Amino acid sequence: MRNLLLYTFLGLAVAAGAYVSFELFGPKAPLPKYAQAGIGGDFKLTSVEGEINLSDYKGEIVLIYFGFMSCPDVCPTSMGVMGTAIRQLDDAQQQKVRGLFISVDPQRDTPAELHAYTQYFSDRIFGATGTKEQIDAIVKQYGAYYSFVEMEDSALGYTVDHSARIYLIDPNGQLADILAHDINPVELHEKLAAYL
Amino acid sequence: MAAALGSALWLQQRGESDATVVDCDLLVGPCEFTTNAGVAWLELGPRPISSASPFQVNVSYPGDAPSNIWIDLQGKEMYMGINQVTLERTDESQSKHWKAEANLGICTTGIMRWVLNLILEQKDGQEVYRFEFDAR
Repeated sequence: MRNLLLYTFLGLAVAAGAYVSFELFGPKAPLPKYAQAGIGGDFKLTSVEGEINLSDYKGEIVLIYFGFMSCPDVCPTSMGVMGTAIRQLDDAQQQKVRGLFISVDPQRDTPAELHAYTQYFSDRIFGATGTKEQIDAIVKQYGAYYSFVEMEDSALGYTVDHSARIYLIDPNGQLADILAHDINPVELHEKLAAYL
Repeated sequence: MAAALGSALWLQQRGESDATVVDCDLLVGPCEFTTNAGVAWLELGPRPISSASPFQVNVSYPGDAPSNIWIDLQGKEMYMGINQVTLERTDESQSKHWKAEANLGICTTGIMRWVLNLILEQKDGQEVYRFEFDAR
């Protein structure tokens, strides 16, 4: 009986050691290349529904775009491409994709206005913004860029230079791809479908 | 195009101090530069380069095919985000010509000065050639 207990204890100890060893030193699933480089990651912003985190959308593909509502052409083009690509998915697939238009101009773009703006392009595209500190942190996280430019002769007063890219976040919340703002919607649809 | 922007991102550290500066205007035409293997060419087009439109990057390299050729695009005066693109051989049987589609990916109101670092990766290290150009 004593031997049986001893062998059982030794067996459990060996199994526990092997498990710990595997967890510490065993093969790991490779991280996406952007994550390896420290690009991307979770963030906190404000939408019409209140505070949102990227991690809230785990299990969905998220297409992030940095822009502002007064942007005359590039932003609407990007939203149009995004909406067209999403509409090419079937209804169930569409529910697993979310566009996220992050306004870098919180002074002018309120969450409510952003909601109305983004929903015009697709009911799966949503708007969010935040404080300057939050936006700066996210822009840095994603290797993006924005800068305010004074426009004395314009009623707008200023415009915003900004990155014109679509950041594709996979269902695990990892940055998986960085796409041109004017990517062909068919190509974007294919990229989305690859994760569905 | 999008694939070039995204999948080609190498995210490698680049030796700024090791770059050879090439004094040539890429907006006028192809730029000739001397590599360890001889005279090479870099051409961007169509010219002028637009900040939000794709453009072609073409490289002619005289020596044995490098293991990898890629470019790193940066704003000269300010950080403009990460933008790195790998070039591919135009023809598997001819290793002298490489190309890629790139995009500065910026919506901007003015002219901006850009730095293009061309990185030739060889078995025994890398050569970095630095160019500058303007884009609106």
